[in-house]
Amino acid sequence: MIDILSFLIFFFIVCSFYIISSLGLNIQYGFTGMFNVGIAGFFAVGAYTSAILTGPNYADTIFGGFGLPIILGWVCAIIVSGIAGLLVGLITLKLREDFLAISTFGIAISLQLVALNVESVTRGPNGLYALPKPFAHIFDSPFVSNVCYLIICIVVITMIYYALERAVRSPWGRVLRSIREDEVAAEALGKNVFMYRLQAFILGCGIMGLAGAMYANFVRFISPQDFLPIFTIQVYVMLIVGGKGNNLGAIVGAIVIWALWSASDSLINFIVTPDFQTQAAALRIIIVGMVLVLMLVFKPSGILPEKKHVSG
Amino acid sequence: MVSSFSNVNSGREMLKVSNLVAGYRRDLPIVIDVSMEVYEGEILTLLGPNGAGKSTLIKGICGLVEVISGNVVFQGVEISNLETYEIIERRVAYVPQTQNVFAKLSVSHNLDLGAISNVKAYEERLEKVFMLFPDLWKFKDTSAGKLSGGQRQMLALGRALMADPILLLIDEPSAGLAPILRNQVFQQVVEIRESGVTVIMVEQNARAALSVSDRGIILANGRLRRVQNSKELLEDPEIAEIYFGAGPTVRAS
Repeated sequence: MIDILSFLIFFFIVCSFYIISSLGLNIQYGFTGMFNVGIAGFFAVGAYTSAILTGPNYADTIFGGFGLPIILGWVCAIIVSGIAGLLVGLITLKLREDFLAISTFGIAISLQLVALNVESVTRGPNGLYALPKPFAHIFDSPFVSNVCYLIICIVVITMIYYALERAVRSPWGRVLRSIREDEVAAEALGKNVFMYRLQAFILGCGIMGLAGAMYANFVRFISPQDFLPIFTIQVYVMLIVGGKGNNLGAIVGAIVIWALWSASDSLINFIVTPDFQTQAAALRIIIVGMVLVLMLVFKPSGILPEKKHVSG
Repeated sequence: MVSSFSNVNSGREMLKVSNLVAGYRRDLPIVIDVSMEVYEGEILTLLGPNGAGKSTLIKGICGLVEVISGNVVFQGVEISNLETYEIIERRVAYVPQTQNVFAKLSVSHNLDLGAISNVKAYEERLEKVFMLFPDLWKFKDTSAGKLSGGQRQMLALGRALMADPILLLIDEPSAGLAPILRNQVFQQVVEIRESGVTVIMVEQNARAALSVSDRGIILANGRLRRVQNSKELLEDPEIAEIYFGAGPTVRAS
């Protein structure tokens, strides 16, 4: 019984990182229509920021090991990812949708390569380890500290959810949706479209960075392998299946797809002989891809479609 | 104010366009060397065949296309190098041609999007818009996508008025409307002018548009062909043949 429970807790904690990323993407893609394919990059920036600020001092790095409180690491992760979003946004947000996608994708890959190669800060492929985890030093049992961590995740998700709901229902959110519907028309109404897009982009990137930081302080070890483009694709599938333009949809989609991902993982381990398991892991991507295609064919607006009348 | 032609010459110059060259690409100008003036309180109609550069000219005025050379001076201030939002802040409003409302948003949210900052006057302006377009009040909670073509045009006009403009640029207000609605829209344009807003509109229905406007400008191939009193244009047989199609007298012979 406790096994199942601890599995569920672990499942929902990992799921939380996807939920937060998906909420961050929703403000960019769901509400403003910006096709940011660099989620993994901003997630990585957040993860490394918190790891460097809160982590121990390693013998082979020249920068880092500040051992700061975790909460400070997370706040800085939001700020640094937000600044990364600002810099990326300044150079890419005037681009058309498809070019924005290509350039953010390239930037995310570059960030991953930076993490891989700037060994004096990130320890390259060896990664940063022994990162502090909240409550881990108070409770010996990982079960109890995981319960605490799950509570933190739920609190953070609730806060982000309500903040975003308020934001998208405000006049500011209305302008975002008008930009998504028709950029030129929004401009013709005297809206500084670029500034609004930039603000939404920074906000989304900051949220993705927080997800990365929370991931780093939970798994306690990060390496460039954690920030591959597949992460970005997963978050997109979650948001589209859940319902873009609906914050609750972003949450539901993340849970559904993460459940499917985990279940297919177990299923593959169960039916495929160990020799072929590495290859069979690709089946998960096929399964999730199929779900995406079926969803786009039969219910393109997602499990929870965007509400047409969001009251002001 | 109703007798329209009298106020043209008495009105102060509001907008001055000098040698304007504008277009979507620098090497492909659509509007070529156009100079014109717009006077306070008038309705000015831009006429011309498709591709003449009428829409591009008003987009050039409000910064939606690139001004390649020449300049636009609005109330004594050069605006040709400003961003669209900065021009709109100077109380110029632009109504795009068809597909011009946010279909997924409700009518009142569409109107709210038109309002810029000044919260104090917001209620007052909203009331004014609802008085001019009572249908919008009736459908204020409906999503704009469910409105008819005529209602959408009203919404687009109403939304532009929410910014409290002194100069309104309208791109083909009668496009896609049945004749009866067309006249209604033109009547509303007159009402808007009577509330103190100067109007520049692009139109294909030359006859109907000229009958409510003070002056007409005729463009062809991006160049200015004629600037004249609407009445004179309406009576000009050459213009009638080229731009209004063959008149009834011609058809009878």
